[in-house]
Amino acid sequence: MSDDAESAPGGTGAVTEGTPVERFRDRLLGPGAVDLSVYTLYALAVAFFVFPVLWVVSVSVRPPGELFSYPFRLVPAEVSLSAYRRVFRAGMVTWLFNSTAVTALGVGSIVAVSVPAAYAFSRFEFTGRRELLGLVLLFQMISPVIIIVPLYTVMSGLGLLRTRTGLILLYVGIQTPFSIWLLKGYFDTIPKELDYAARIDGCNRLQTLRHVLLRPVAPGIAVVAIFNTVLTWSEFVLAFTVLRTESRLHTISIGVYKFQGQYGNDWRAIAAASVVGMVPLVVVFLGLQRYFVKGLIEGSLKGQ
Amino acid sequence: MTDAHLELRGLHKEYPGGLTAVEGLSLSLSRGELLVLVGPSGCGKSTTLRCIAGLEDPTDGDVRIDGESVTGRRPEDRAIAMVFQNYALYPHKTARENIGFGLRMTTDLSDATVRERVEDVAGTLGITDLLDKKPGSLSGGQQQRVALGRAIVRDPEVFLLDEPLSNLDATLRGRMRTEIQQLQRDLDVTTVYVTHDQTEAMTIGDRIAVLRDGRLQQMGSPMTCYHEPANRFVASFIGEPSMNLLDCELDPAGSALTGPVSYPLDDRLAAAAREAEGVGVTLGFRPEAPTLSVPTDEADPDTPTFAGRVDVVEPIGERSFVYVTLDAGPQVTVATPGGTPVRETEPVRVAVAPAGVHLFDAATGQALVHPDRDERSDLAGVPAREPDHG
Repeated sequence: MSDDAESAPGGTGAVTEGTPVERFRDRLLGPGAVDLSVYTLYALAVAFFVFPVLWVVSVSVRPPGELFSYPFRLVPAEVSLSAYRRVFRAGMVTWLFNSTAVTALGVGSIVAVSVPAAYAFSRFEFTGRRELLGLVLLFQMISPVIIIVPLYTVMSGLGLLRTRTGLILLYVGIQTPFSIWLLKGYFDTIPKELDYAARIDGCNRLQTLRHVLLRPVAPGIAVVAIFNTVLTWSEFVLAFTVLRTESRLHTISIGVYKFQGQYGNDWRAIAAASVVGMVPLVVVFLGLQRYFVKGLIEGSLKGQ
Repeated sequence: MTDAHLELRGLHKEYPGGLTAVEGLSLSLSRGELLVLVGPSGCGKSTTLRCIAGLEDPTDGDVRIDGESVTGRRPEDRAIAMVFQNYALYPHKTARENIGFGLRMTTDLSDATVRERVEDVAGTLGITDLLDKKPGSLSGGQQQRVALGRAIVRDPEVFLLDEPLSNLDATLRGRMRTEIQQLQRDLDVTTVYVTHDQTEAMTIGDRIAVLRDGRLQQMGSPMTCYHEPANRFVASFIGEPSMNLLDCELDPAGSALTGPVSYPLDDRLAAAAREAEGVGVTLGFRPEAPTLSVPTDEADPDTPTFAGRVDVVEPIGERSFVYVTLDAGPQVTVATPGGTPVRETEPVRVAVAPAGVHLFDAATGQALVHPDRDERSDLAGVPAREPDHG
């Protein structure tokens, strides 16, 4: 009987459909009530995450004096772009350029190091492989803030303080372990027969990686790129420690910090700088997300 | 000088940690021969194939192709091609790119020549219209053909097939089995075919090599392995349903087997049984060997008979498999013509003529005697064909 009900065409929402529990729930609440409650939950969750963003945007376009106006309103009565003008005059273009340079070079280096490393950990059998993997994980457990003093000393000794290279090297060193682990997981899901087939087709190890494995592992690379881009773009503590007073190298996070004063904060400028800083991230995320999904759909192998 | 085209000499493969996958395997194939390596999971057949391909280095021993040692050479320098169980097609490349990839990587052929050869092969395999599709949009059988195309486009000396039909459904498997046989004959290429499916091994191979725990148990024609198994393992592995094996002891007079069942031995069997290292002798007979009768039928006094009761009747069409628990305890399988009127729980008699009996040394497992060749034609003669499991 329930089979009949389930196979009935256009039976969505019919009281007789589904398990006894679902039928009871439908009788109690009426058909469609669950859809409504689920979508209400979705809406609440979205509002929870989107509200702070909207609030920051709202603050950034308020005219001076309307920041903490009463009664509360999300959409300001009047729109002013003076905060944006101020942050661009204060050096926003330089900060954006620096952040872009550090993020692009940093993330590029992280991917360049972690892809071959993950491939090696996934495919090669060598002495100490497990121990090395454990060490990589162990390093990931240490917060960079804890080792910031020795890091500072080392960077100073190497003459890398107040340089972009120093900051990029730090990001690569700190963020690569996690990326290796993540990518190793992706490589492990690709059958070894693909490597074998490539070797029979005449590829050496690097050619196998380049011609055969890179595409199936692309979703993993996209995840690593997204994750590290977000992390690097918004990182403050290391950037502030390494770049110090070298203002021509300052990144966007340091730029935002500059609007915080000893006797008061320029919230409108902070919000405007944050909004401008957010835009490139959103663009990168959307671009890579499309690729990520495409890669997932493409990368299928029979029998896996 | 040897006329072997592919030869393995004392091939030995031990993995770090002490696991021995292949132990002193020696075999040779003549040009154009199809040898099937068959055995249960973990018997070393795929490792052997990978050692031939150069994907793994043997710990010891030699792989020779056309009289020349290729051990230590890279896979692409061995003139071999391989088809994998999961096809291992490059998911982001089209069928055309998959087939032509090896040629592009290993030869200096022009794009036009590569394209021409790929299209030739595709024509042979009937996949010309699929060349611009990616593996994800091809069916299992089509992917299999592309994988075969990738292998044959390189015109290899030796063709290695690692369980190529395991991922196909039953109907397609039967069809591809015939196609692969036909293709192998047309190309006249020396082929090593690995499978765990003994039915596939029996039907496809010129010869089969049965492996267990990395060791060669027997190599010979499918019929030899079926009718004259070298040992208990081969006897139980080859043939579906398996050979009936009853562990007995030779009586002190050496004229009969005792144990769960008593079985009088004629002179031929008695002489063979006395070759056993101890008193333990295993009595074996194929399901086709016995005749089944009901107790009310008149029994042949010269044929030893076991009484029992039918457990299950498994009709498969032209014949039925009847599972009988003997009064003495063990269960045996008997193949009967399809219309045999036996019912479950019914008492029956299982008559096993000495001419259809194998004896094995229980201590070593080695065969002591096989059924009379002359008498064999009286038996069913062909192995049972297992219905394909989907």
